[in-house]
Amino acid sequence: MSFQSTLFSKHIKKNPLLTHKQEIELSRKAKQGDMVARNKLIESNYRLVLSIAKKYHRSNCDFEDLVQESNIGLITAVDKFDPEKGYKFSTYACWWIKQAALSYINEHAGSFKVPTHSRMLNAKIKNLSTKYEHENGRKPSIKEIANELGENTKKIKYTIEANKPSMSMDKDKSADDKSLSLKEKIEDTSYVTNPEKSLEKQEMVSIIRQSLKCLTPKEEKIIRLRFGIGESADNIQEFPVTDEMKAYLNEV
Amino acid sequence: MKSKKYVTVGNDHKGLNYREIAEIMTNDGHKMNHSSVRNYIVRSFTKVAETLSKNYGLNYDAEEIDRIAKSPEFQHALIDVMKSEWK
Repeated sequence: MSFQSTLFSKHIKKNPLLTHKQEIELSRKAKQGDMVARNKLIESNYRLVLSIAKKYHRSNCDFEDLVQESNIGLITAVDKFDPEKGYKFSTYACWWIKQAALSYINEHAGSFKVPTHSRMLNAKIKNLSTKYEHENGRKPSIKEIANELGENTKKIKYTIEANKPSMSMDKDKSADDKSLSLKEKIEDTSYVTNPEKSLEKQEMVSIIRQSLKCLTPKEEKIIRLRFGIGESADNIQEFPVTDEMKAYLNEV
Repeated sequence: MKSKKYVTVGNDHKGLNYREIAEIMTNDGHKMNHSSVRNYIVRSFTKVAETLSKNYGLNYDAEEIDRIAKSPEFQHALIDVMKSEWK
């Protein structure tokens, strides 16, 4: 059985739609700390949550998680609803539910998180570009978009770049698709598949090792001291200490 | 452009400065000042570059070896190899 039928249908069937009067009554009680009334108000509005979640559901995000996040929006609405203003609860709650759903989608839709304000600006840019193209027969330049939206060109460029769709290198292919995936098209440069390169590297290291032998012990010591090779600053016994440092250590 | 005479990469390897090294070497019986330390380091890089060139069968002239020895890429790479070799 699916998630909807098991969990939500049960609650939805059990809790029919409330009348405006009932909503106000339950909300007043909830405000006074009546948890039963609060829960009743939440459970009676699961329909609204489902309806909004279905509207915002995309293939790249999990529906069950989206419903859960939308529920958080509903709970916030219940806690913040002011029954004395005379509006219907659903009118007020739908904005909180939409906000929670959109926030979840913004955070989980892509491979990486792009801040909500950036996604919103990107939506504005897209809308403006479509409108401009329709009216002028060409796409607007970055400068024109920036002027129109009152933002600087750097921010517009950055936003467009950050909101570019990403694709998976391991994207599943259908069984009859014989083309190569992106991952399969990239050259494998590891030494497992390139034994010649591995050998070349080994030979090069061996030559460098030989070349290092040309240094005298004095030169080697200076180089070691200069670049901290083989000396541990924590090991005062072995690490060379200057007179100046000794004096400082004695003072401490 | 006039080439720089003494070029060594910055000391971001938690080592000592020239004066500190000079003091240690002097205490060890090898009297030297900070300039001598710097000269030793520059000369060491040149020596290794020269030997490396010979071992590879590339007989570069002194000018080319000097250019290689002074390049930060060469010096950083050599320090990395030294760190793995001279533990």
